[in-house]
Amino acid sequence: MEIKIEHLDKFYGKKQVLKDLNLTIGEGMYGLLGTNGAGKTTLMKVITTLTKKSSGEVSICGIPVGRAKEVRSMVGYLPQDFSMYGGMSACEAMDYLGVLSGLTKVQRKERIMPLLSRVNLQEDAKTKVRAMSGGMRRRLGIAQALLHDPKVLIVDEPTAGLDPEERVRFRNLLCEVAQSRIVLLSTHIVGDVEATCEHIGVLDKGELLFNGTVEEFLALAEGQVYRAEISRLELTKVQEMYPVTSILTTGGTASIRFISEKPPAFLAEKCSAGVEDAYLYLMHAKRREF
Amino acid sequence: MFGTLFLKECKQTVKSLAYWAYVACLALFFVSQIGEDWNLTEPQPGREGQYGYTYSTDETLIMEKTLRRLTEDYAQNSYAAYPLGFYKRVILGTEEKEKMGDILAELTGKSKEELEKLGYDYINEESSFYEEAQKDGIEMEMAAPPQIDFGVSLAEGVSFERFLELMEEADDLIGGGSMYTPARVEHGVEVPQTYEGALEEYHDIIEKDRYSGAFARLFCDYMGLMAAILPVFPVVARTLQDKRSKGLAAMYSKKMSSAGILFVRYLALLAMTMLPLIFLAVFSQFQCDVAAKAAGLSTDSFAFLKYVGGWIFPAAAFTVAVGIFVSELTGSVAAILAQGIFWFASVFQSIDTLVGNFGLKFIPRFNALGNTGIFERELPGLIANRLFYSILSLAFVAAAVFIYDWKRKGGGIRIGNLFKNL
Ligand SMILES: Nc1ncnc2c1ncn2[C@@H]1O[C@H](COP(=O)(O)OP(=O)(O)OP(=O)(O)O)[C@@H](O)[C@H]1O
Ligand SMILES: [Mg+2]
Repeated sequence: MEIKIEHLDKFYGKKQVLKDLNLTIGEGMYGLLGTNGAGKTTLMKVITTLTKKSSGEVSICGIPVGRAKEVRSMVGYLPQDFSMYGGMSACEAMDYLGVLSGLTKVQRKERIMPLLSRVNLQEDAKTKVRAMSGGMRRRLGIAQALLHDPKVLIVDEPTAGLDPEERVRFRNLLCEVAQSRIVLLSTHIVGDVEATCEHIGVLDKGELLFNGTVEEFLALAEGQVYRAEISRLELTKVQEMYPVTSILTTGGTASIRFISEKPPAFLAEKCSAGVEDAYLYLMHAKRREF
Repeated sequence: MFGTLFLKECKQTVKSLAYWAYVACLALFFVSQIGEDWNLTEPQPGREGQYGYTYSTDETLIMEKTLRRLTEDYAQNSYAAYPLGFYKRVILGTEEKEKMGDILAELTGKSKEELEKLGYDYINEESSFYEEAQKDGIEMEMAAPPQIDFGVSLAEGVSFERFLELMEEADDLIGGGSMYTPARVEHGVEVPQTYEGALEEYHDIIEKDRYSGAFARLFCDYMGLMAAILPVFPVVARTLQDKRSKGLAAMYSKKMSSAGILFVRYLALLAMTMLPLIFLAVFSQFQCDVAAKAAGLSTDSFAFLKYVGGWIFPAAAFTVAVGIFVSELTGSVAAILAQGIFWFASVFQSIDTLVGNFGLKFIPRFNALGNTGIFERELPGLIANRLFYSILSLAFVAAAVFIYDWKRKGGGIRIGNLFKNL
């Protein structure tokens, strides 16, 4: 069970959005990080058959994406901007999508309410989609993606717009789901990846900068992350010199985390790298190449 | 699975405002146009000129009347044509006029000089007519155009076949779609009905149409007009819901085939479109039955359903299909515009043969209670016409499926941009 991507290119007109991508995604959670416009959504659309690849091979559990119907029955997809007919209630929307997935009446009946409870929408089962908040719609989107019990779950920024409590809930749900499935999620929120994923990919301008386990990812920045207390006045100067990953100011002093390949000139304490540090390190390193 | 989807689609349609506007328009049109007179009265003798009109297919009569009309048009050098259904005034250039003169010369046996004189005479008579009118203080626009008898008649030995050939040539000269197309000419000329004719019609209605059939035809004539345009509104509303919902990507990613999704939607929209029409038909049938019973006559209890099924259903099927196709293609309300233009053209195309002569007109008219004989004679034509539009509907749905599937796979539609701002 795997998603196999070989030499994938995608053009929108003349613009190349995915560049010779090679990637194999196995069971478990795979987190896709990348800046705005990096090509995350495009990659997901290729895998879910919603956009055509320009060249290369993409197959899911051995089935090439060209065989759209078979792929669609295996894949659950949460689009980046999911919503449904405003006049439908959560329940009706699920039912409609369930029918499109070819579920029987019994299956729909058995699955819809439990799924809505899992995303904490049980009390809003009768709420119309147009009356839902952004976060509620997102949760409905997650529920619909799981409706036909797909082997592969592809979720595009699932946690965007969720409150912290829902986000934690959702991470747990995804971890459960990922037990016997492939889950591919994209996000800007590094914390999501840190908390849930075994594997990470970093996409930038259509190129895969990194692909590996979380440990490997952290190792990138290991030994290069420092913590320091500096005067607030020095802050701009330090920011110009190093990529700063966090700042906490109290009074006249600022405690910062930053990345540096060599030990810095001022007093700083080495500390262990987090995913965010590694991500910024990678982006910084990449930018310096040019 | 498809059954459930069908019901869900029906529900989705019923929930839209456009659908209820559709129902309201139908009801309004029904009440205002068809009204409540379901009675049939036996014609009484001695009221010549009050028996309405019928169409005569007497070849000599057709030739005489058509010739008179052509001569008039020739003298004024102004011809009415409906090339794409819309009225167009055609004025012939010197060369074409010459050729038309040849045709008339053959038909009348008069020389072209004589025919030429007709034109001058006409202009003279016309100007003196308007002078008279002016003297009487009538505005020029208000005066009815002069009725001038040119005194031409058919030359000896012109056969009907030859006549039709010449009419075809005349039609070509005018550019097609004129009053002289052989189909139109052959269809017959309007003549006043006689008492005997009216009585025969009356008996035909009772015996052949079993009373309700004749009313059902009139029902279809009127309601068919509406079924050929109004369904496009709920259809466009439904198709645009997709775009507005932002749910398309999720729906696209489910496994049901595009053909399944769209065809079920088509059937559901069609069913919901037909529902109020069927209701009105059943209601009318009931009224008819009551009126007939009061007159001691029996009816065909399924006449309305039969006529609605065979006549209006294909119109609705076509309108819904075009609506789905154009909205999928453009992602806009352009379907309303497209069907609107087609509808107008079709209405105009039928406007001067309101009884029969169906051809491939999208809106076949039979605006007469009775004339059963004519209808029976032209029924095969109507059946062919309706089959044609039914098949075309399926072709449009198939094309819509193709577009839907294309978009589903991420394909873009360029011409959609043209209509984006509509
Ligand atoms: N339909 C389209 N036509 C043309 N260009 C497109 C289309 N969709 C996306 N792009 C371009 O492709 C690139 C990648 O877009 P994509 O949506 O995949 O990025 P993303 O990584 O999902 O970004 P975000 O984090 O903002 O969601 C962008 O530069 C975008 O402008
Ligand atoms: Mg995206």
